[in-house]
Amino acid sequence: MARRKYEHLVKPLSIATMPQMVLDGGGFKNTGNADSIYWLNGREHLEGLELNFSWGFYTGLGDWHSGMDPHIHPYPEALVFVGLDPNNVEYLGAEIDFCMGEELEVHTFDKPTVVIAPAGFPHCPLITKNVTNPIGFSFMIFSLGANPTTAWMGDSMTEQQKQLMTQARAGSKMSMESSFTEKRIKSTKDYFTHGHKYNHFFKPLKPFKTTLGNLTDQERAQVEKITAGGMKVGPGNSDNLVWMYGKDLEGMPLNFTWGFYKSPGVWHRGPGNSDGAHVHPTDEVLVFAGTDPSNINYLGAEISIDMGAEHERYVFDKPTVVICPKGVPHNPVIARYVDRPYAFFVICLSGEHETAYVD
Amino acid sequence: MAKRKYEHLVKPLSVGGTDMEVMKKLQGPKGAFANGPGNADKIVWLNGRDHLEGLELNFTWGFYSGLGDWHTGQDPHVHPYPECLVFVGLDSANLNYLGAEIEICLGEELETYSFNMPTVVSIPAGFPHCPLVTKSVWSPKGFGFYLASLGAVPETTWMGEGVSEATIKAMQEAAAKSGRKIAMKSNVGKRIKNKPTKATGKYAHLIKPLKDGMVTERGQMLKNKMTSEQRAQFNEMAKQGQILGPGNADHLTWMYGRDLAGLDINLTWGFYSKPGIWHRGIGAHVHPTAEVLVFAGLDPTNIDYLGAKLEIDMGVEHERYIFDKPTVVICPPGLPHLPLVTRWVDKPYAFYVICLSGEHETSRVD
Repeated sequence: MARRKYEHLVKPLSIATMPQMVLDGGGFKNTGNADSIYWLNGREHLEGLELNFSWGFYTGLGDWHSGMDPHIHPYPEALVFVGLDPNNVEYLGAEIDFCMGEELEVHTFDKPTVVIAPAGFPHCPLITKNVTNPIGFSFMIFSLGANPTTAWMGDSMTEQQKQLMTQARAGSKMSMESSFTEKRIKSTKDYFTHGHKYNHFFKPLKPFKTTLGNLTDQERAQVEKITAGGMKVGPGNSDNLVWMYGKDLEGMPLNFTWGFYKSPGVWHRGPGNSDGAHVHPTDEVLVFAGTDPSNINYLGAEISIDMGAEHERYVFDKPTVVICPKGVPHNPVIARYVDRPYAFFVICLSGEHETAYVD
Repeated sequence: MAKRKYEHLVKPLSVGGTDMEVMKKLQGPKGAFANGPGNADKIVWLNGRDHLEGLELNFTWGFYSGLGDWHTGQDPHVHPYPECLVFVGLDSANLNYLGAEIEICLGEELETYSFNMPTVVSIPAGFPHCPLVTKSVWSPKGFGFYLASLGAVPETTWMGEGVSEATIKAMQEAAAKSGRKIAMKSNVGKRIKNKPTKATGKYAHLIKPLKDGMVTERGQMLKNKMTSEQRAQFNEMAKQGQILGPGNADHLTWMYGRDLAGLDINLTWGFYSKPGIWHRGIGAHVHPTAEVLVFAGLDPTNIDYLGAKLEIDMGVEHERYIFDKPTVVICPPGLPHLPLVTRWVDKPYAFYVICLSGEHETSRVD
């Protein structure tokens, strides 16, 4: 079959399955870290975008990187903790301890939450204290760098852990570039502190209603901006979704959505004949993910999306990322069928979400 | 925009629009054809010669609420081709509701048959039929009717006493003056002066309730109504992942040649209300015979309203066509078509297939 113009922009998430050796023995076994995870990065998977992101399922208790934290990155990131109840985006089903700063100021939450970690800012340990949802919860990282890079600062990192991290990178598809700072920080629970200095880095995920119910003035303004020109919500769209902008994320050049999708049909109706075909002045990725923790490669739906002014159509039924470089028209999105509610999130590399409809 | 390869095969039903208000106001002679009080309030009538790429087919879709004869004084009549007259209700929750009582005369004896359920009447070529009288309408929306006639050019020979060569000519001249072309070729045949008679059952085999062909009810296939052969075929397709999608029918009936007096036709009638793909596990398919796919709205006040937006692929290239008005898709023999995806639905709509063969043979393309 002839190569299609935009096929490099539509990829299954499975291209970035984490090596099993890392999951089994690379320092994460029997911890709170992921049961299964995809981690895509700009350098290898996202056409050079200054972004790496993950999607994973979590059921384990305990520290996510035992003895390795805190850590820092050269880029800012948002760490997003979400539940798996498609009827309630405000349910997490777990209790999390998250430390911020060299002070290891510990914050505890049990609702879907985004944690903002500025570039170079020490964060973690991250500990799953309790999981109350029998199917666990999910977690996403949105990191604003093409190359996943981490400097580990924990003083309890074993030589075996160091070797596994570096060997994994050299010998397999492990994409994270790990280093180990000279300054070591003791990070056992005895060293955690309690305070409110970093409260502003923790934001609960609040649903942004797509139906015009009891909207605040701010929500109404957002709806009016999105629906300018006659666009309406289609039957395939989310009932409730979360939309966080740069202003909600301590000024990060990022806005993202999070939502569950249950119904077939087009996502946007209009304006005109476009059914949502639009462009943005900034890059974004669209991520379609399943909600079955027993099979991360199951989407539970069949989706079509048009790419380019030519409306080149792509159809997929596996978890998929669609890369939308700035200025490339995309949409409509149409859910052809849905067997199980699926998740969808946009990661847009700007604090604002500017949209121009085409066609 | 560049011409697309299959755009001649996807047309709005409005290309066959007939303004019944204009027709009814035509100052023709007394008893002019097509103007009985029971005839359509609104109708589209497409034919093979003018609209359907030469298919040996002409068909209608219309809304009806008036009482009385459909062609006062002109009937009975015959056509040089066979046809099916399909009387349907407009209650999308119940395919077995017509909401009207209809009387139709069949044969030179004018045997009179009545029904008040959705019904198809099969008329062989050259067989005298009608008068057709709407006796009662109790649905507040009236009812719907479609004709599926197996000739590219609509042609009727009228045998009633109320029409003559002179009245036909005068009517056509009146229509021409009003700027309308009457697609029907009308002739006058031998006069039949019989009075309607009671049904003896001689022609009962030409009348079938649509419920006899029900294959889907409330979105579920009626497997218990399938023959063992159909059930085996269904199970085999399901094994390959070919199952109904969410956009498919809520209620659907399918009548084959064997149900339709052996005519070379099979046809469907169904109500649709949900978005999504119509068939899962299969892309395009193809038939060895021609068919048309007709998407029609159910709002009797606006025959140009569909209430949904759909996309359909045509050809091996999967050239996609999108429409939100009542539309006919012409599928010549061997031309791949589908998938069909409903993008959104505001109001339930109707869909029917008219396939020019007594059987419905389908082959998977991709």
